[in-house]
Amino acid sequence: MDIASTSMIDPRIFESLKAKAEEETKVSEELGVKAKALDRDISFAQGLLTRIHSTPKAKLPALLVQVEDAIKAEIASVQELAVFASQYPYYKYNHRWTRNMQNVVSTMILCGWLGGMKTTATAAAEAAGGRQEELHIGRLMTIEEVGEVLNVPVNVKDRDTFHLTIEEYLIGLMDTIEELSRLAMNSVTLGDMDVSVKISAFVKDIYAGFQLLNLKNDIVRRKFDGMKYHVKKVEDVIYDLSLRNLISKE
Amino acid sequence: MEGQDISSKESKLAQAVHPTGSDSHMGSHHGGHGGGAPGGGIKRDRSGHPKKSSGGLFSGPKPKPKPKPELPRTPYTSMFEEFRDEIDQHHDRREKIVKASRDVTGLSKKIIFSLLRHRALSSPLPPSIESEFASRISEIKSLILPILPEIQGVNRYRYQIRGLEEYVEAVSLYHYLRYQTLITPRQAVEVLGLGSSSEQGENEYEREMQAKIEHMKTDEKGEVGSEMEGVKGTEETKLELELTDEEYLGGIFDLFGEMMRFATNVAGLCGTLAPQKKATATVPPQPGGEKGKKETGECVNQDEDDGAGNKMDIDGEPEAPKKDGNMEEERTILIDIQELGSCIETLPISKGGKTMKFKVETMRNSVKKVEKLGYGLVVRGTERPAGWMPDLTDDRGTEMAEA
Repeated sequence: MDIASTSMIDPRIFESLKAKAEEETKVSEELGVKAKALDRDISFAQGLLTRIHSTPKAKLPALLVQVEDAIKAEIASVQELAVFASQYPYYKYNHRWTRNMQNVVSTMILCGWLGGMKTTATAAAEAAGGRQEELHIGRLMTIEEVGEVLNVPVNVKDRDTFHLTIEEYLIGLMDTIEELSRLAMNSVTLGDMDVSVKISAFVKDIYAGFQLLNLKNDIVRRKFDGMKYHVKKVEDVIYDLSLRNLISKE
Repeated sequence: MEGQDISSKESKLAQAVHPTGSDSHMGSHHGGHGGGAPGGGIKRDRSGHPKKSSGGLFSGPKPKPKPKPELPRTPYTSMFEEFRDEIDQHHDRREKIVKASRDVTGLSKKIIFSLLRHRALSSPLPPSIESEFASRISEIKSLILPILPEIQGVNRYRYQIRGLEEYVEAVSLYHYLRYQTLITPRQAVEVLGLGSSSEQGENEYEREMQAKIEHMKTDEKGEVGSEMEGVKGTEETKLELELTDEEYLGGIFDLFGEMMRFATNVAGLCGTLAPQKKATATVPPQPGGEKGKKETGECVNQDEDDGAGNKMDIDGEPEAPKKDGNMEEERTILIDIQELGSCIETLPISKGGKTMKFKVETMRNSVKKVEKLGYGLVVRGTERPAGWMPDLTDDRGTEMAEA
């Protein structure tokens, strides 16, 4: 301990800091590469999904098959990211990919809602019902289902590993709501009023769900604040339809 | 045109049964918060039907006609209830951490103020400062212990704990004044007694610090001691405080500012950047003392320094450099701050965010200020009357006055 008289700084301090900072840079760069790869898959899936606004019901299953392939690519990229990122403290780097994960979740939920993303359970149920061709519209993939399909754990608290957070799921869900509010209008244009009615019911239920949350001033809150406009958009469509007696009584 | 007819006919009916989007939205929104807030005019439940018997504007928590929940349960209600609990937990945890962090910041600032009343390097600090330091450190410890479980594992990087940076700043300043060395990240944790107990040998420092704190506490006030005893009891399954590099470095960046302030103080009062202090531990503090000198602020020339016979010394502590007439051996604050600055500059942190850039810039300025002080002392130090103090508020002002 007689370093005191010769030098102020124990060189080991900065050796270690430097080594760690260099490692951090490397990790960060690698994460950037992986996030970018995932981003490309997301863009493709999202691009395909914009076609739902102009695809009539009959052609929807074919489109969803394509989307599911795109989502498979997303899943593979998420896997790669997850394996790499799990080596490092989750919340240290989480900001690098949280946006991507929200987008992945949103493509999955949207595809699932339209009748894609069949899990083994739903597929079996439908096979039993013998209505293979009919799309089951209006199913919400839960966070657990999304995690299962992505093969990543969900809302992990007891260990430091890559996972899907509740916030990411919620934001992804809100993005889906936005997309559905657009679809509510376009499906009317395509002559499918039923979808709009289903969207309306779903959007209202989800909005009611979000109202149960005690949100603080964070990103989820800001997103939620914007959600009311999407709800309104859907309700306007339903209003127009009911005004003109265009909603089939069911 | 037939449709037109129908629609106008229907319109009133539809209005009553199915309100416009915004209306129903407002109704459901307010309904969700449980208040009886007024909507457009008619209150509606979330599916858009007018509510019966609204008791007037701002009726407050009114008796419900039907004992059903404000929001009807949807297929997703229980899912969102689970999310709500998780999110609440997260916010509560963060709030707890932020509160503790703020208190740690306050205490750390107090430590720094008290340390800056000191005017010497690498020597025992006066008992008053030591005991204040010790009691503040134990306060900080008692603040950090309860949040320790919240910042373990995956949650370590989840919440920003600014207080820890501030703490590193305080404790590194203490360490510098006391030993004239840079505190290591490990030592910074050991001061609190929250380091890992696995590695032996290196924990000398921790034991010494804790001994000092215990000693001070029993000397000072029993109540803090007994309180800490209680905390200690629950501490059997010892959790460690993991100090991140960001926090450590953040504190060290701030240390530059404190070193600069300290250097300016001693340069003004003592006319040197290598002040050694006569050991005062055995001498009772002299309140008042000479004019212009604080109770703890005596500066003594190296010639008078003997540093011996000091009961504060504990085995293993680095001793104050003994006078051996070798001027080259002696490090000044200037040399130290320059070395520390160079070390930081070698780190690949240049592309950190805006705050990091700002911190580096502040650091450089602090180094330059001390360099200016050193230059001033060499060039015209001898011309200064003893005790002359430069105006520190404005560098340029000082220069002009000198010129």
